[in-house]
Amino acid sequence: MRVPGALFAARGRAPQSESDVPFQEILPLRLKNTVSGKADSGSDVACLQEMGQLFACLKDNEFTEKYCSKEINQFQRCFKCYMDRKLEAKKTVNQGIVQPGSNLNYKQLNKYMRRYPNPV
Amino acid sequence: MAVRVFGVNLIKTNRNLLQNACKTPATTFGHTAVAQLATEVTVQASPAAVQKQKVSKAMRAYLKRANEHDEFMKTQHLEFQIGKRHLANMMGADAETFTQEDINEAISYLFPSGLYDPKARPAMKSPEEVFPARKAAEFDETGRPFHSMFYTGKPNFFQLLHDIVEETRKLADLEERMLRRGNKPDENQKLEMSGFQLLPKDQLELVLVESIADIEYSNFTNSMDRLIASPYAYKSKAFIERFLKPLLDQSKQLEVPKPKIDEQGRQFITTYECLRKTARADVTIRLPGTGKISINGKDISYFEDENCREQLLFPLQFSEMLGKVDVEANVEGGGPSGQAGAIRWGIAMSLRSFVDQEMIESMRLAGLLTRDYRRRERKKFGQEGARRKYTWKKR
Amino acid sequence: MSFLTRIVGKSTSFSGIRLMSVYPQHYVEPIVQKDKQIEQKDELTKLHHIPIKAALNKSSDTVFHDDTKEKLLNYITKKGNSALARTLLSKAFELIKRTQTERLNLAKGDKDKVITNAEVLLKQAVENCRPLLQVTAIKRGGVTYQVPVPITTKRSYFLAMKWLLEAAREKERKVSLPEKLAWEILDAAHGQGRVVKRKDDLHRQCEANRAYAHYRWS
Repeated sequence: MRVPGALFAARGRAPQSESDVPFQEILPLRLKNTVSGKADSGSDVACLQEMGQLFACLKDNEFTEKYCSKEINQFQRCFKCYMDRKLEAKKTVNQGIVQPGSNLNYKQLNKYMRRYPNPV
Repeated sequence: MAVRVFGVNLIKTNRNLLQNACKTPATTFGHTAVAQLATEVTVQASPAAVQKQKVSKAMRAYLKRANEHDEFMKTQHLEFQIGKRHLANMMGADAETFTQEDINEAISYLFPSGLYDPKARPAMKSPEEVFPARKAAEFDETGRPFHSMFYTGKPNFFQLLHDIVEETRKLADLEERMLRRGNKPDENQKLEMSGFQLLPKDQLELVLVESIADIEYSNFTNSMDRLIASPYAYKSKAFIERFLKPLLDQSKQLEVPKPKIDEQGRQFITTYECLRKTARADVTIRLPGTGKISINGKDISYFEDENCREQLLFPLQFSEMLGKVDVEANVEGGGPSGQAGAIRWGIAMSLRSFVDQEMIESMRLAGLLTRDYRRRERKKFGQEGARRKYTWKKR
Repeated sequence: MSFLTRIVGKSTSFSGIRLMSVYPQHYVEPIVQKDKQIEQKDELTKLHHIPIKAALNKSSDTVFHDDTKEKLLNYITKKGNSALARTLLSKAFELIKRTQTERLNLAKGDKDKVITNAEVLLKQAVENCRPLLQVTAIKRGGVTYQVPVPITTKRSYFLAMKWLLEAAREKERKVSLPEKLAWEILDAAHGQGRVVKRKDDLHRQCEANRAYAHYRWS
């Protein structure tokens, strides 16, 4: 008597023997010891709130600047602060000094990982 | 520096050998310390005491190289001495007391050269100066290195880094102890760094007798900066000062000439070779004067451009000597702006003799006393000008 | 030119950046004006051991020197002809002075309000024309958005002077540049005219696009 194939199908496909298809490690099975700095540039958005206030004031006063000197000053101070901070951050990043903390940038991370690489 | 390293090594290896070497009448021309030590290598290589132990391959190769180098240096030295004698004879001086300065003078007299670069001019120096110092053996006869960091390839450099870190730790400990005791660092003894600078890379390399990479030099500067930043840095002043280079006080760098007296009894100073672009001028300033300016026999209207005239008056006005001195200038070459610049520099340089030190410093800060070396930059091929590129469109 | 290469060669430090300047990197810019030297007196002791670059051949320390004027002169200059730029600007100043003196003579009562100093007027004009923001085009998903961004003080001064000059250069053939420039400066100093309007338009555009303000770079 012929056994219909459908009976076997209920068990699913027979597994391949490992000796026939040996496992190949095409990419190494561990993480690299470097990270790229692409995503680190971060967003450049600053002083949104101040800008909003400035716009509101300008609109109310029909774009006459002298009535909005307070808002203008605030906005400009904020932007200057932001630029200064950015410059400072750039300086420290370029020096590549590793500080303790979780907020590390890619250069610092790379330095860390060079010191403590993944075990081979 | 090799001398020092070498000497230390020798003492470490076998003292007997060193003593032997010193007793042997080394060479006829070994009048300098380096030459004596250089000959000692040969002594160290030959004796039978060495052959008892197994000599490593590296040591053998090194000894061979050292021998060759010594021979070479010996002949060089001999030739240098003969040359010196000849020069002394030619100059009619005593060969025994003929110094390096005399040699330089004799060479510049006997072989005058118009070459611009001093390095390209003929020179005669002792072979130790001409041929760079070499490191002596860093391992004993069995091939065991003396230095624990020999296998880093740059033992002296890494030893230096270790030393710096050790000093830093020592200072940090001291700071901790002082803080506990409630003491504060002495403000009066604070290390003054404004007139100093860390040794530049090439000089540090000479000190270490090792060539170091850029990143290694930056490691050195970083660790030195950390050491210097410590509030108790004055405690290790002696260590830090070994790697400092004093900076020159800029306004005192050039000696201010004393004014001479002319036939009318007025003080005057002439500055020759005032250069700017392709113009060349000589400027004479006379002290009590009425503010008269003569350029090539004409007055200030020699320059038609308003800006050039302003440039002429700039140093006079800046030093508040306008109307108190007379200026005479002869100028040739270049265009109006270059000529005005040349005379401006000449006036400023000459005025130094008639103003006080504070004003000289002020003029220096204003950039009046610096020679302006900028020249027209050449046009490059494949470019529209010196820097500008042709417009490029992909399609 | 061998000395040029020699100087540059001396200065090549290990930073790896190609240095185009003749001066070595540790040279600092001169402080030409005496009042500025007095202002920064505390920092000057640091410069004691540092060499200074030579003063430029247009710098001076007279009462006629004015930073805004110098900058505007640079912008007026075409093809390096700064002598012409100087004459043009001085003509413009002369015209400003003339009109203002005329106004002063015609003014009834309050005569102190009319400013006749051309340099002060120029400074006022530039201040009045300085924008606070500008718009940059940012492409997001194939659509270009005009995004308002804050600008630095330096750029705002540049834009103000550029607009003044652009307005002055946009003229009929018979009118000379100094004439038009003088008008524009006078108008801007009183908070009117095309340049101030242009600044306001920019602000209006920024306001209209305020919704996109959070798209910045990235």
